[in-house]
Amino acid sequence: MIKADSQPRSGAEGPRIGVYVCRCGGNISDVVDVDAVIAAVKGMAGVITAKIDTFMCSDPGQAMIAEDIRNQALDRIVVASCSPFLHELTFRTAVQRGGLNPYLYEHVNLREQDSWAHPHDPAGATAKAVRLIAAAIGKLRYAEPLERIRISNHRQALVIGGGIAGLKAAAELAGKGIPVLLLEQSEKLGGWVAKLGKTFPREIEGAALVKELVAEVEGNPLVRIFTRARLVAASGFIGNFDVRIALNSLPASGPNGDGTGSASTAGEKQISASVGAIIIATGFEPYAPAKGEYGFGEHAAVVTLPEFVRQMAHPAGELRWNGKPVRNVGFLHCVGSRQIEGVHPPQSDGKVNDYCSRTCCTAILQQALAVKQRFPRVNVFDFHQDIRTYGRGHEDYYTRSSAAGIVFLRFHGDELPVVEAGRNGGPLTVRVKDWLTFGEEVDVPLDLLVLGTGMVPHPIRDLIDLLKLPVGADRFLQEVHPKLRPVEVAVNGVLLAGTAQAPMNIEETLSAASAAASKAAILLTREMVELDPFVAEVNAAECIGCERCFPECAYTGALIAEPGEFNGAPVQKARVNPGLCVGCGACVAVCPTRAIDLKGWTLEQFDAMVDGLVATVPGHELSAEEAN
Amino acid sequence: MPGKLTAAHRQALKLFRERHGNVPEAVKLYAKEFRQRRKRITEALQEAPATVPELAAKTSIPADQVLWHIAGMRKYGEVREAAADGDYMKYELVKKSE
Repeated sequence: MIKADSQPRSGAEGPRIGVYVCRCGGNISDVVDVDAVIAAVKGMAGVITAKIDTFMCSDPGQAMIAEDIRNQALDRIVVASCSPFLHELTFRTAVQRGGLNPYLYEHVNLREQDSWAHPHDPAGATAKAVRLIAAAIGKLRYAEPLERIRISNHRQALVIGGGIAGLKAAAELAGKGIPVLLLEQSEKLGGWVAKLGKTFPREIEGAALVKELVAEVEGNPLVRIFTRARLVAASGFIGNFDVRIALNSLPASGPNGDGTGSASTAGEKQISASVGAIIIATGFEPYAPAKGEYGFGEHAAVVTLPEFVRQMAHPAGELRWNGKPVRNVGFLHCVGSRQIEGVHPPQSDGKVNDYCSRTCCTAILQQALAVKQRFPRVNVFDFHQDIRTYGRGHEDYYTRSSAAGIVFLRFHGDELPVVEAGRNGGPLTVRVKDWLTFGEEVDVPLDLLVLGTGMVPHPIRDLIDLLKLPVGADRFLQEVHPKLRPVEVAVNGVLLAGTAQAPMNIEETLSAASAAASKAAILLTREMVELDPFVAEVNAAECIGCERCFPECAYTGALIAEPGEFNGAPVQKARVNPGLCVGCGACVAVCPTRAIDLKGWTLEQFDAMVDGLVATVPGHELSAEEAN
Repeated sequence: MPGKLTAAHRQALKLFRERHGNVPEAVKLYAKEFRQRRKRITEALQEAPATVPELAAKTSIPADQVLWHIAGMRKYGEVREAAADGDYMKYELVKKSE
């Protein structure tokens, strides 16, 4: 409900507002008549000064604002320029340099939301600019100085997963002097890389890579390593997570456990810890083909790439499988990857794996080449849709494979090769429509078929639920922004390292792990965590204890019930935990007494913005056409 | 649809008007035109599902404005896509009972 007692917050003489309009080198001023805008704005209540600059974001532009604040005692600033994503922070800082609280600043977007949107309607764009600035002035009139929220920080990190990503992240954090709890679900550190054999592109043994990192974490007293451990409880927020770890917990099934938490509890004990950041490095699982998929499980001569790699690790004078010599071996790309709905049967969750696993092309060619080099008389066939050897030095494997006489056959994604029992007593025949020979049907007799199985995320349902991690359509964990915030998730303080996020090769995994460690280090080297001040706030005097806000809050712990009193009766009143509140405003909308407000975005400020948008400004009237 | 206004609502609205003044004429005009256009589009769709260009021709409202209204109506479940018509989608009204 509307209250009668609120007043614009300003000094006795009213606010002293400075408005700065940017031409953006013509991006804005070619459409918007900035002189007319300034003329209109100068007449608005509280506006002391209004100026134009060609590039307000330039050093002289910023200096002008800071100077005006000091010389003209301005106490509110509007800059009308580009998108706030670009320069809001720039101008908040400029305002601060002028001696003003940075939150007594409003940013108006005259470029993306005006001049670029209405290039053919200069008069309409100019009128819109005037109203957008009027709205900002209205909002500022009710603005309060705000302080960033500062919360003390548990300067310790939790790294979940002891594969190469987790090892790298732990090693880097400890190297920067930050204590780390490193959790590994299985008995041993190292993960999949330890089992890979030689790794592309430098042919370094995976086990050697892992050994180096394990030595580093084991040698650093800041890293506490827990194997056969898993996270069983987590609460809190960035800088302040409370976690509980189960030790001696036996994985329920599978070589590395299935992560579903249905683990045996015999001999299990639990420890509690407080951490400031959590790095998820839970990795991947090789895709497990279904029975009958390309003959897998039906023909003994159909194997997966990891199985083949293990076989190749044994020194032998000739290539043998199941005791029989192999004369013809085939490699099939994209097994469990780049699947097409309607062509491939769906996975257990009803979806197909439509993503590219990225590492299999090079890994297959690496193995194919190794076969050819060790056993020159073996014929090697490569069945692919595309060759995606995209990394530095990876294409070399393809060039060398071609030169070594490996036979390439290319199929289309919707006309898959068919694997059958071999005729004439041979183990297998692969029938494929080969588009390198313009659609010729070829029957390839094979003694062994290696399925180039891709990656699926290691199952971490429990962790996803515990930490409320966002999951993408491909079931991998999802970052906030693929380019601009690549290792962060929507949950503040939780970071991604490696193949829990997407298929990656070892180099990419290590880059991601380093990035996550750096992000965590930036957070954990500070004594305090700083958060934006835009959170909800409850005026306890206005709260009637109706409890309507609680079910609306989607952020556990952000809204706390506290015993209070209304009209002499005991009620549960709401209080906000600013560390957990994200400022979504859902609670504000249901409060019947306007007792909750978002700092920096109060309901009064919204009212004032609407007033500014619909106000009549002579020469800049609202018309139905351009108001849309 | 919103329920009946209570005395508390009326009091709040009175207070709101005192604080913010009456609705400016331009805004009233804009709202009127908005309602008229929405009504014309709805009436045209009552006859038969139609594409945006067809609605524009039928109602003499510029096509970009028709699209803007259709987008709004779709967002609030008042219309939905019917069959495709060449490069365009036909839109149909969603009956209140659905």
